[in-house]
Amino acid sequence: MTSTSMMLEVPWRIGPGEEIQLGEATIKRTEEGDLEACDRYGCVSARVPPERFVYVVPIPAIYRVLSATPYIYVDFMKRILIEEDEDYWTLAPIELEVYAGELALVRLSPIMVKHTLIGDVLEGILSRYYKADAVFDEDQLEYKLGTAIVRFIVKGSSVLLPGVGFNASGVEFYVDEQGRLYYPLLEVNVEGGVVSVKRMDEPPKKGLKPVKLESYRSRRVPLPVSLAYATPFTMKVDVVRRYLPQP
Amino acid sequence: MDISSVSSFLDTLEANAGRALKAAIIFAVGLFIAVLVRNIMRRSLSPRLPPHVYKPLETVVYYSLLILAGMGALSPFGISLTSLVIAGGFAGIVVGLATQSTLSNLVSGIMLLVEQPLRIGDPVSVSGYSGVVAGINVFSTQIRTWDGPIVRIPNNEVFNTIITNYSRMKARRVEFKIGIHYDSDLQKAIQAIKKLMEDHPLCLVNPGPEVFVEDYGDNAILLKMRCWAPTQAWFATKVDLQTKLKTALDEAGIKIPYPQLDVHFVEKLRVALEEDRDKSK
Repeated sequence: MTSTSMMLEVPWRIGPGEEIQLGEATIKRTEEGDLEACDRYGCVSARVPPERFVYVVPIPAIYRVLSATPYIYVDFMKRILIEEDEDYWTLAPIELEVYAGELALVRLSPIMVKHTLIGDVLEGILSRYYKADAVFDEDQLEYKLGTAIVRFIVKGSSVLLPGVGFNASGVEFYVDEQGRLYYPLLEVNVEGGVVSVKRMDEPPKKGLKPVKLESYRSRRVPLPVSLAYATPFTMKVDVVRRYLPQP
Repeated sequence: MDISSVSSFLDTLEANAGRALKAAIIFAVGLFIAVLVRNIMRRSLSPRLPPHVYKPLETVVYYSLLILAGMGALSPFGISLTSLVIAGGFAGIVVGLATQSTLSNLVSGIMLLVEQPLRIGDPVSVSGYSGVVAGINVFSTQIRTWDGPIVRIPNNEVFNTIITNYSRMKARRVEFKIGIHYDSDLQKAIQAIKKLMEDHPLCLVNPGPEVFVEDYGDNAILLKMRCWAPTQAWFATKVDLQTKLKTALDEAGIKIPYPQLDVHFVEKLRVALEEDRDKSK
């Protein structure tokens, strides 16, 4: 079986003789017990007993190719004018972790990896970088392989927002009936030209199921100690001047 | 030596033996408590705090307890803290002069622990030695150099020298020069190098990569390429870019020239050929 769709039940299971392709990541399993997992940055081969349960789970895109930051920054194609109490939708990257039973074998990136620095070299925030559109309605989103949907609600004043960043360490994903993945809801606070983003750790909308996997949950991947004390995501933005009288 | 002096020596010894034993016990108990407290601190703090936070704390507490134990051990001899301070005023000058460099190292060590210009695990360059900080003790700092050996540098020197700490910034710039042939397409070369950096997963999007002509050399147009990488991946990024650069330029049809020298003669050069020489014969 070859699958190139995300419309599978999470976690994605791979039986002997099956192959799964998610974006640029490919995981092949032979009847004889050979497993090969590849992305654009390399391949890992292993021999796994055919009777062993092998599956792939989504993880936040902060580990490949370097676990350097817990933050993900989504740079919008076009800056978006955000208003208080409104909500917006975008996409953020994910990574994949291949398990054999309870043992994590490898992490893969289904899309090209980039990093960026928000702020200056000393005090800024190093983030995983992804470019995507920000839209007013979920239906306007073009869902892509290797990404999960992000919904953010706005508190505070209006600004032209160039992008949104958030701390993604330890997030739990949600999945809808069509198998689309969602990051937890984000709250964007704008105050005095500074945007700070809080992860709400709740589903972004009703009707989603959490991606539950006990072994996956219990296995926390340790980040470097200095990152464990990371501050919430903040950045400076241009304040929108109101030229027209408000109704 | 007469019998009376031996007997008085033995009396003094007997009188002081009890005090000495008492002092030894106090110091041993103090030492035991200091080691115990250090171990408890290590066990409880190490999972929660990074080494650069808990290790200096541990060192300060350990040595403070040892000093207290030492002062406690002097009490059976009737030396109180007050008299110690007064005596210390005189003795301090004498001892201070004798152990100037040791004390200087001690004070510098304390200052290093307070100021923290370097922390355990930091990649640094100190006194001409580059490597990772392996330990900061009261008297010395250990640097594990990139090729493995541990270098012990007295704290006095560490405190008074220029320290370059490579871990304090979020990103570090990778840059190097490359020469391309004068006959090569300059714009094509710049585009190929820029694309190489843009496609590299560890070259940051912001600040973005740069390529520019740095100089027109004798044999080549010298281009400088720069990209910022996460600090911990600086070396890996540099090595990877350097390796891939040749392939990227080859694919773009850009030549990297050998050193060459064009010689121009002011007057026409006469060359005697073998054939001519034969004819003249």
